[in-house]
Amino acid sequence: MIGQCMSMTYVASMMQDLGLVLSPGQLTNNFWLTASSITNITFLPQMFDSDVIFHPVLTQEEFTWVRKDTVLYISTYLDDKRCLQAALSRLIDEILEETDSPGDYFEAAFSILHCAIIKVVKDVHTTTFSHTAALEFLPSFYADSPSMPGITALSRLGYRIDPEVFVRATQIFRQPEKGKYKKRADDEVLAHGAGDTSPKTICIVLPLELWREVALHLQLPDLLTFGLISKSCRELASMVLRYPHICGYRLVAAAKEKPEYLMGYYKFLGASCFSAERAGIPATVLVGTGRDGWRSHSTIGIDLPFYPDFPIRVPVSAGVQDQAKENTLTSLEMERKV
Amino acid sequence: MVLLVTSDNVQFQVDKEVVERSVLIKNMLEDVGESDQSIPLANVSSSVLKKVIEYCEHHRGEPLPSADADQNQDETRKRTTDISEWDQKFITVDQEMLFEIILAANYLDIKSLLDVGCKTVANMIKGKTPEEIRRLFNIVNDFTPEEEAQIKKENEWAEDR
Repeated sequence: MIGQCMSMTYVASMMQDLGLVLSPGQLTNNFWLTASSITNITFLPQMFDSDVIFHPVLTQEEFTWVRKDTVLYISTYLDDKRCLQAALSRLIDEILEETDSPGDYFEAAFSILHCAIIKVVKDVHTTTFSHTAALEFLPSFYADSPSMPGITALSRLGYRIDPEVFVRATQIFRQPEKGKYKKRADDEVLAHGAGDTSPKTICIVLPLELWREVALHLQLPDLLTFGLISKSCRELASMVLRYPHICGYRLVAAAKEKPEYLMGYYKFLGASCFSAERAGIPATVLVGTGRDGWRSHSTIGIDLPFYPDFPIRVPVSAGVQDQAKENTLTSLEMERKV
Repeated sequence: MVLLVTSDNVQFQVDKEVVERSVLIKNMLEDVGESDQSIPLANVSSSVLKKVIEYCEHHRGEPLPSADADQNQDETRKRTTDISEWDQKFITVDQEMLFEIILAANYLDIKSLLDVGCKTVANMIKGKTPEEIRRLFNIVNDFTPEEEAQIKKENEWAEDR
């Protein structure tokens, strides 16, 4: 995603300009929105399942509570020791002032070029903290991989269990701007199997780990419905929702080897290949590039609050993983509003 | 041949190649070595084992998931694809039997059968409302009234699907 942002001239130039802002007090609203949107997206359910992904509008404040236990602070020059210490100090003060309840809290200081993560452990009598160094976040425009320690650290912080992930997911999924869920062309193709059987009430109970297996086979809209059945079902749905979902596919891992066709001009920075699943069917998903011969091209649009009329358009291709079926791909056709 | 004894004390003589689709039984046979001793399956009834054997017979000779894949469920799943026509017919049973098959597949560690069962349950959930799913699977709604009110809000989109 960061690589995709970097490939857009207006975002890339803003990112570079951000590196020149002297102090947090000089951040313009656009600069602040750029930095905080890039960071905030990490803490939202990773659901890129529609034409345009709308995310909550952020308002410029010194501290943004992205979760109940996580606060974000947009800063500058974190690679400078004094700037880093100042950012840490302000963040720790914020925790001390804003929270009364004991527990573990996390904080991220972010300056586009760098980020630092702080963990604050607060109990009744004492507060202790530990933090990372300033970790490089923005890859070089000449890098051959978007992987950076800052991106990894922030992603790991975002991947922590979020008790509210289900509610956040339903909020994103049923945004009024988008209308109701639209069935994909291949939804029916994927609807295989026994279908409904007799409505007889059954007494056998499946243990939770088997309901988890079932949940892993559900598509996103059905997974969200599943989470509305009972508390246990919601927990299982929340667990599945921790995976990123793109165009109906649940990404399960980065591909072990980067395919050769991703090594072309600039693709290595803005594109990646993932092992994925959809309704239990394994697939390979290419994000950030299309692939010739894969007819399942689609585009996801991610809105940028600082440029609302110009969402990032990210091409996505998917193909079933079985080599024999590589050319009989599932369709990802969507009505495009972008 | 291997002798299996079910929870209701019915004996089944099954080909070793067929029965070894169950990782549990395969491991048991490897541990015991050559023996005429029967294998008790305390958690599987005869009607369910009959279905399981039917499945294993049909898929006899197909490659089993590797030991490496066993450690990673996602990897294991990569080896399966959609439900085949035969599997669909096989799994068209009443819900009680479907759940029994899933439980048996889990106990006997037959990944492909477990996958077919779970996919079938997932397909039964597809497109239904939470209340319909609760009724279908006899799941108790344990949300508090306050949580229920919140769910109604969250559920608006689902009701219009």
